[in-house]
Amino acid sequence: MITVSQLTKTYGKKVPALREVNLEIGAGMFGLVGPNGAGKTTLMRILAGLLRPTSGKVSVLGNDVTTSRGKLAIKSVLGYLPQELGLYPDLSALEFLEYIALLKGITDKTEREKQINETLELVGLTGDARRKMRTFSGGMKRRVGIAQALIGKPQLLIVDEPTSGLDPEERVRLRNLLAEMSACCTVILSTHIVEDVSQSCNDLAVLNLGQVLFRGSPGDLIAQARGRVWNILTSGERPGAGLTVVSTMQIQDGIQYRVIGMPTEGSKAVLVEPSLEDGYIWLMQQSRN
Amino acid sequence: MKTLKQIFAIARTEFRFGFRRGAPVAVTVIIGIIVSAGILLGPLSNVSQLPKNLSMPPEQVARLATIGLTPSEWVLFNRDIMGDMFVFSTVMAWLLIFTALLLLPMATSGSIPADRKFGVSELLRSTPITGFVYLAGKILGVLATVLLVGALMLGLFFAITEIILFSTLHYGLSLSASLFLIKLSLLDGLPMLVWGTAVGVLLGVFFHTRRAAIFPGLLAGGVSLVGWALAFRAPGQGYIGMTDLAYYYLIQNYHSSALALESRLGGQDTNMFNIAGASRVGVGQLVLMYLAVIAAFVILMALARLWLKWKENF
Repeated sequence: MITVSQLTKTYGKKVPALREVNLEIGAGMFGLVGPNGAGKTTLMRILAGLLRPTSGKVSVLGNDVTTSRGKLAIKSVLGYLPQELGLYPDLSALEFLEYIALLKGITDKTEREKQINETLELVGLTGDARRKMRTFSGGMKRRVGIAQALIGKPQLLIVDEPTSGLDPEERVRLRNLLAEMSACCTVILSTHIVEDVSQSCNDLAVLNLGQVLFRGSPGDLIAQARGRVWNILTSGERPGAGLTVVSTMQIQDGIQYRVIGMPTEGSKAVLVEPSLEDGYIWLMQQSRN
Repeated sequence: MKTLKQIFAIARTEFRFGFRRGAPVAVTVIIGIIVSAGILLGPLSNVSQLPKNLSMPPEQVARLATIGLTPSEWVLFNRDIMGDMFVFSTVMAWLLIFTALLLLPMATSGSIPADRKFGVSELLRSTPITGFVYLAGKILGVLATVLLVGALMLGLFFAITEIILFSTLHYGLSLSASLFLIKLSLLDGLPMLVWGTAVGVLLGVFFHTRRAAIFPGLLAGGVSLVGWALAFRAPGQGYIGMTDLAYYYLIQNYHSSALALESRLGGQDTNMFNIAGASRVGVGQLVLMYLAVIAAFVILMALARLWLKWKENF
């Protein structure tokens, strides 16, 4: 269980990244969604014990992130994939995972090899394990990042923007992998891609400007936009003011807009069932207003 | 055990990178060349003046007999004299090892900034290692690179010396001279290599790029050089001048065959290292010197550790 209470983080003296955030995260897969600059990465880094909060309390699996002992205890059960992943280009994936496994305290050689081989298999890099990582594509590097996070059988997996740079097939595979992992550990998935969360998380929070705007299930977020999502067909002109265009599609009879808001009477608007993305956009729109 | 393995893992990875990054290797090679050239230039220019042919006429054998030497003892003395001449020329040239204090901090200061450059730093900090383990592993890894290259340079130096001596005089370096140089390397050169490397690695904690760490590294080298020379200045005045206690201690205890022969021939004590008025330096003082170095290192390590904790919550 992760408990965040009145958490505030300010960079320097004037740049607030998190403002009195309160959250409780249980077992399973938890999604953290928000626009760029919302404070997601800051929150992830605080939970991983990498960043010191300015004020507030954070307890991760019973450990206080502000104490040295607590941080070490958290890191010993943590799998972490940072947003900006860096790898040593001159090492092979195998050498790098061996290195990380040792740092994670897997001192038994047989166990280490077993775990490395298993994770390489999971991320589909067995055949490329001995290649220098400088020759890897962005997606392959990301997979090495995921593999190193999985080493050590973590109880808490924090993945920050894991799908960035991955092709659709790799994204689906990663989402499935994380969902499988969530059966035995807590997975926190931070992303600005709503689709990633909608496909895999049963619990989520939306963060904007350092504050929690929403906390609940994807169904609850979708429900917020119910009755406010429309398809409008026009011959070319954009829908009126006050409506947020979610998508635009050229069809045979004209242009079909998917909008959020309340269309004016007389417009050819058809009420449609909202998606999680609609719910998210409605929420962001409301927060701006 | 787990902590040791973590330190070893970081050190091993760093050791691999040490050779690939090149700077520590290149600088250690340069230091080795400077020291070797300094040492070899003096004695080798005099090498032709020494007797090459040791077969001697009967009257010379008789003259040797008057001072209680046989021709074979004379040959041995000559061999040792060559070694000693070599050593005497070497001792001052060995001061060039001080270049390690000057240059190594600059060469090794890129180790920690490189982790930041590659973006691996955050990943490493997410593993259950402490800042101490990280720093210790980094220092050991870079040090292993520097010491390996240093040892190779020393070996190369001995090999070149032996080849030159054998080809010109048909003698090798005497055992006592060789042991003296090895002692000098271990007790005098080694601490300087360790200090120069450790200071450089720890300095890197404060910088985000390798380039940014170059000038501060050179500055730290200068401060190390002056600090070392001032702190470990020999108690004697005159010939030895600014050199350290380990060096002084070694010289004091070096028993030269050449000087022994000279004193036997001339009936006088001409030990050039007995400096009038200088107090004798014992092992205790040598230990004190190393304790002072270790204390300074611990302070630097604590500062680096605090910086990591403060800036990176590590």
